[in-house]
Amino acid sequence: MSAQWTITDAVVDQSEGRGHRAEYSVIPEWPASHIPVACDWLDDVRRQLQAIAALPAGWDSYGSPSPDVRVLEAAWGLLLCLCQAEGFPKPHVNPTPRGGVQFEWESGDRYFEIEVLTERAATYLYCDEAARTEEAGEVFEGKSLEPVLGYIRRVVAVQ
Amino acid sequence: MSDQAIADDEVLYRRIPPGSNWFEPPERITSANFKLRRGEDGLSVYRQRVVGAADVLKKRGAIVGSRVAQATAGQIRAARDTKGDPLHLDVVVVGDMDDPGHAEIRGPILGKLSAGAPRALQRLFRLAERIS
Repeated sequence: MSAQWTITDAVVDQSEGRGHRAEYSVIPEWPASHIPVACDWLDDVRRQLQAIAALPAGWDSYGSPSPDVRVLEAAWGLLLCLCQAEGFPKPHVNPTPRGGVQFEWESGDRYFEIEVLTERAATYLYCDEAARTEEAGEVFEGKSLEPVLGYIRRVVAVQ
Repeated sequence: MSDQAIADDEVLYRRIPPGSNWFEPPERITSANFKLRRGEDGLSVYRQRVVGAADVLKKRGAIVGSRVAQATAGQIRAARDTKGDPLHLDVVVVGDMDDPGHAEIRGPILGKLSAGAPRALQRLFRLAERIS
């Protein structure tokens, strides 16, 4: 497993002073259970990813391929990395027609999703209906997840 | 392809697979329901004028427990992203000789939807009433 998603001390320090790991590199196995994180819902998401991994081709009734286990592993690694920062709620977890998986946070007028498409890349979308704002982009293995955390925090802030 | 035009007031159905299979709320529509798979030209929908919602759930490949969501062609064509910019979506009849009522939601570039289009469609489509 090679997925590497990074998060810096500065981001973790914003998490109400908890002393989480500042950087997480390699997920040695999946599903992993020994990573120190700040989110108590991770076991639920792991169960969801395991269910998604078991979906057959055509799971959506439109001929989509089975989810790619390597991509699910990368998504799990990404989530573990994000969860070093405290304070955001469990995302919705859904498979996507391109063999990936996406995490979604929604609150009030704000919405954020990140779709893991390959072992090393993900796309995201942030929407704020009230502000008529929409921002889309990509994140890659080895790059900082701080912008992603920033979007999630914007969504969580309106709860 | 048929040359039938789809009027703005036509209701279109899209199957929504049961998220309960991966422990998501069964009534929740997600933007993932409106993303294209690789090699797909457009999002498959069915015309209410040709097939009923119950029939959509009996089509080949339909998953037990799926639901049907609906929107009109006019709503889809008028869809805008969160910023208010038009998405330039269209609905066209595709392959209905083999699959009566079949149509596709397409973006301005074949096989591509803008980043905000799935989210806009998620917000637009509503679950049809329970089908017995």
